[in-house]
Amino acid sequence: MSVFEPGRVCVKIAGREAGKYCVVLEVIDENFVRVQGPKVRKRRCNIAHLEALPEKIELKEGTDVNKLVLEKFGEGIIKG
Amino acid sequence: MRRALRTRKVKKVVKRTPGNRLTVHFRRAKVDYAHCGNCGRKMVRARLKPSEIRKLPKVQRRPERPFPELCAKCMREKIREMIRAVVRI
Repeated sequence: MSVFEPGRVCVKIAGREAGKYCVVLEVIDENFVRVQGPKVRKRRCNIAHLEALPEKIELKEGTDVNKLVLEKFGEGIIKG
Repeated sequence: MRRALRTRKVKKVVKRTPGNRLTVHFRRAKVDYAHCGNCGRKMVRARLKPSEIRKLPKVQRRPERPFPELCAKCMREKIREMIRAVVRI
């Protein structure tokens, strides 16, 4: 089973959003997941462009993912 | 072209003049590729002179991601290292 399951906190490692925290919302197929974060817009993302963290957050209906991540982790591992 | 600048890097072109003479003309040396600051690999960027790069908008001068001086591979490795430094399992 993949580590990229709903609720997994990741860091993007490619593109302009590299170094920013995000959360896996849903698994699309074996290569792609949908992610969202405080500085990452809600989008499809290749799991090769993600680095998983050991943390997971619980996804319930109406949870503000951006706020949760921002409080717990911050915007990203790299500032700016 | 000035004599001191006629190095082997400069391309020579043989031209026939209107007076039916063969002369050697010198082309300006091409600008080198941008290289990664870590591994030295060539990076994808326009091979323009610094004076021409200055005229471009900022987004066309360098990549919009963090560590624009590194190639994408080295940047990923660097971010992974930063994650490992923070996360202790």
